[in-house]
Amino acid sequence: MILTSIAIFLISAAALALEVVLVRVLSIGHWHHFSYLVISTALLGFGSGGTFVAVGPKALVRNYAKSLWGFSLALGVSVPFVFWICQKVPLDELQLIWDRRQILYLFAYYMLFFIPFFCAGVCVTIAFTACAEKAHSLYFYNMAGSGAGVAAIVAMMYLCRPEQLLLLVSSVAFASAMILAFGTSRRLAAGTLACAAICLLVFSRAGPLALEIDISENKSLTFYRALPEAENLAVRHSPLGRLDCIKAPTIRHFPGLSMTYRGGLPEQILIITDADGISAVNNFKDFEDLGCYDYMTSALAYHLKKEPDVCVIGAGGGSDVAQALALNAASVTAVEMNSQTVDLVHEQLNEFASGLYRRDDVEIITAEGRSFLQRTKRLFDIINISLLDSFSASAAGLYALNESHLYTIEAIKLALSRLRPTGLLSITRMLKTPPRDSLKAFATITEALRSAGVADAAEHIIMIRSWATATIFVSPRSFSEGQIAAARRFARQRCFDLVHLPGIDRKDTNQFHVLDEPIYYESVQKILSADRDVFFRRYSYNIRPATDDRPYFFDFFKWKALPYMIRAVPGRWLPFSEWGYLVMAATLLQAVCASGLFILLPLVVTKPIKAVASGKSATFAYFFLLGLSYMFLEMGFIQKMTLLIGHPVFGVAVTLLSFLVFSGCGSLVSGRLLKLAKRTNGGYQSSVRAVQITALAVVTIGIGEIVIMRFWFGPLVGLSLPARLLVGLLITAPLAFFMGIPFPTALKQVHRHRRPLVPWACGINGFASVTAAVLGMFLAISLGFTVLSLIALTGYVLAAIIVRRVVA
Amino acid sequence: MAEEHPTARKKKWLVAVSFLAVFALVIVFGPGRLVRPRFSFASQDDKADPNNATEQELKKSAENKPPRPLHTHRSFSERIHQRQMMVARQIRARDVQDANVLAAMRTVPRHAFVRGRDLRRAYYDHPLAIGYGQTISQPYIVAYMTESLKLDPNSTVLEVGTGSAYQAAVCAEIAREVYTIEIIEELAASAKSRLKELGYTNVFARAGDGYYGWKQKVPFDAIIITAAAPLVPPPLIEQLKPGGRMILPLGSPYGAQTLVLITKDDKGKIRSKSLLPVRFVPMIGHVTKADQSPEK
Repeated sequence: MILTSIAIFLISAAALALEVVLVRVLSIGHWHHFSYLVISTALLGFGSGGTFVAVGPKALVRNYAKSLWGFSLALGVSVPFVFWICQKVPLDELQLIWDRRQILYLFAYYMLFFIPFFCAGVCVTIAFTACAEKAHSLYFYNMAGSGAGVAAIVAMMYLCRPEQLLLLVSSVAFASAMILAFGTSRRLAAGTLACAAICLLVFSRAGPLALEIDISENKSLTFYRALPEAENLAVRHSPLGRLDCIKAPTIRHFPGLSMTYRGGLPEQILIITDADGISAVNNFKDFEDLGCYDYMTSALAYHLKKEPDVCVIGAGGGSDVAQALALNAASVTAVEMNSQTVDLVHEQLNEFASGLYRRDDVEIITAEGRSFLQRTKRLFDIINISLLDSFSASAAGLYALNESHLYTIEAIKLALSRLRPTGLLSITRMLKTPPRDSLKAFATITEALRSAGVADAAEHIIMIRSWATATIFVSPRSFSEGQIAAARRFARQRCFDLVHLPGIDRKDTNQFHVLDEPIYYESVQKILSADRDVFFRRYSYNIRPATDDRPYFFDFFKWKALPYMIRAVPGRWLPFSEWGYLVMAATLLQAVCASGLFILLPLVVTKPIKAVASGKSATFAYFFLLGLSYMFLEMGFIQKMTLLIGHPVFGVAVTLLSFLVFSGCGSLVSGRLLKLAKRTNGGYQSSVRAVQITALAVVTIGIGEIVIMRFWFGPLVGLSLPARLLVGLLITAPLAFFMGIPFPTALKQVHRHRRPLVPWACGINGFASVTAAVLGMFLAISLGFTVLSLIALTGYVLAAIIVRRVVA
Repeated sequence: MAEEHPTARKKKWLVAVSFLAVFALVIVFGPGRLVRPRFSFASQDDKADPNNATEQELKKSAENKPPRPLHTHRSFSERIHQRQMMVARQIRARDVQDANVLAAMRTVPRHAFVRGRDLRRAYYDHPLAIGYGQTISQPYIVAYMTESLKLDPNSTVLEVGTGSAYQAAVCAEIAREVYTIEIIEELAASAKSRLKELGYTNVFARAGDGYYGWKQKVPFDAIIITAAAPLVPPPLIEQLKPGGRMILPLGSPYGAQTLVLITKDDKGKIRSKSLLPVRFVPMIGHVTKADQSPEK
């Protein structure tokens, strides 16, 4: 039994680690939208494992030690093999709408990724079915292994390339096979060792099938690497992304530079995150070399405020820091989350960057922007957030749809509170066709001003646009006449168009970069008006302000606009819609179909399950509710912990680690207690009571924690990082502890009274998780994370009501 | 419960194993065919290439009667019907009316500019990848951009971002001379050899940094930047003739693009205009009127 438990620990660790690594690998090679593919494939694989054991040969469970050995060995081999084959599939996701072959290639990805997760799922289900009496203990090893897998792989991401991590995952699976083989025979152990050695050698860097991420040719890195004399100066890996440092004489990254600029441009090195996110490092002798930065829309801030103390959020390679200094900033506080980016500019590129990050007037803070603003007590003259896109949990590899805690009403209010009375918050966005994210930013700012008690928001905002970018400036105080005149002068001299400033008239707009209609001006006037709700409702995209509870600034999709788009542009509407949302919808559809098929299949096919006379619907409902609710709560807490801890990777890691490990502990402790309290009817009463008490505890603690996070959030965020990590653990641990009890408790009773339903129950739980992973995201986007958590708590209450029929 | 007969069980296993074996074969050998074909163009004799002519030679040739595309390559006589259909359905139907542009689009064999694996889809209504993160634009975009430049037989055109050279070839059908620069050497080399093979003697291509334009041939009547750029290079604005037009795309080649038209008036004053969104004309009425409901 102990060997099986250790093997399950290792297999669970390998499976979860594989999920995280695959998301990372696909974010580099393709885009983060593939997270859904991986998450749903992983959970589908787990669930299918349950079904396979239910309908498959009985020998699988009878000879469970050999079966476990076989499938764990298959897991070890399949991890690198599947990845290697995937890199040979010419998937070009951007061609999906035109090239039908791409659907086939995407399906090939799906099927290939399914294999290792299926092997892991079979292993776990076999163990639960064969050793159901030890369900509590096994559940502990299962959960603890998963938690350890996530924590270890996130830590290893700082040390290894993703390709190496795949081999590491494979090694863990082989280790599990070795342990099981030792329990059977020495020959088997020797064979396993040989197989593992060959596999790892073949797929190693020196081997004939070396693993290498094939980066999509549609990503920026492919283009920049192909430039003449391009050099890749450095590659860094971390959970926050892969960084490539590209130097080429022809690189010029100055988004939205005015067409009136006639001077020279400084030489640049690009730091490219995950092969696509670009940040520039400038080479300059003195600040006169950076004259071009005065010809960008964001430069207006430095014409409105002289010698300011500046805070740059998302400093990256330092372009905005250089701009601030070139335009006479007194001091710059540069906040950058990725320590490796800071390290590159500070160390390796220091000479090229003209010592930018080592200057006395520049202070570098390695922190997430929102978190820094929350904790700092300093006040600034200018806070600059330029072209900074979301860096969310998606980058850490889980639950992607670009949550952003920087572009919410609460974040804007916070930023405004860190400004001196006449200070400025400057936000720059790229223009999109049709207009959406600059309008959403404007709407969010307007709402933040209103909720901060500003009566006339229009007097506090200036917005200008170039041919490619738009910048919004917000001040806690109304802009003075002098500032307004300076803004008009600045825009006219650089051929930038005014979108909004106090006292603006329609004829002042749309003069230099001409649109058919002054759509930006008209839209912001409607956002500022009292009937803005009508405008938000009628606009083709979702440009309602984002909030902390629904932090999806980058979600612009509206279902009701979809039929119009399809009618208006038959066959070609997709580029106008929002890919992320549609990919997620497709994943949910697929997840529901697959779940339905695989849950119903055993009912139709397997005689033993068909033979069970009663309790099937209750079993279905109970385990489905548990799977759904567990996942929903986990997602809700990941979001809250990310905000609290102020770092997406640590937020996700702490939450997952805490949920998985403490759920395992809950299972283990409850198993012992139930054993002691065993009464008549095979522990029926104590099981029912245990689940009911658990549900009560989960609901009480859950609601308590939602309240704590809502009202005590400010003081908690002010703590140091270790303290916040500890608080994060303390908040999630008790909840997770109780959440670990209902599943093994009921499973044990099902094993006693309706043994054939055990693998089926595992499968249902797995499939509920598949659906919940995507459905939860839909609910979070449309209803918010608080409602999502409340739905999950209701699920636990319902499960407590049903449990009597499950264990009877 | 009755035990399953051993033979029946064996049969089941046999079927399962056969299925798995077939699946494994498809997985292992399938991708072999799926792997991107290695594609290279035949190497050309550089000495015979007009694109390698010196500046003096170019000057001399310009003084003489301007060369015209030869149209003798067999590609010009292939897939004519597809080109006609492409123009009728994708371009004319979307209100590109310039007769010269339509004739050029009917003439240039687009299939000679795409990769081997995309030959079948050469005339489809969408862009195609050509490698190095670059694309050959959707036919409608090419026609629309060309029409926006208002070319005539005396125009001199500068193109930045040769790519496959399809856009250059279309311009060359109308304009007197086209100068095209590609930053990625491999693409520039293949474009040069392709242009030579197809007989485009009035197109002069070279590998280089398009940022600085082509100083020896200034000023240009029209400049076309075919790759989405984060800035409009100042030297190119200077190389544009007063009264000239420059066009460039903003946005992803696969997503919604905005074409930006820059004009320089006779006094040298610059204005720009978004021709948005060019690809889907019906969208304009909807989204640019912000208060219009989808239901309306």
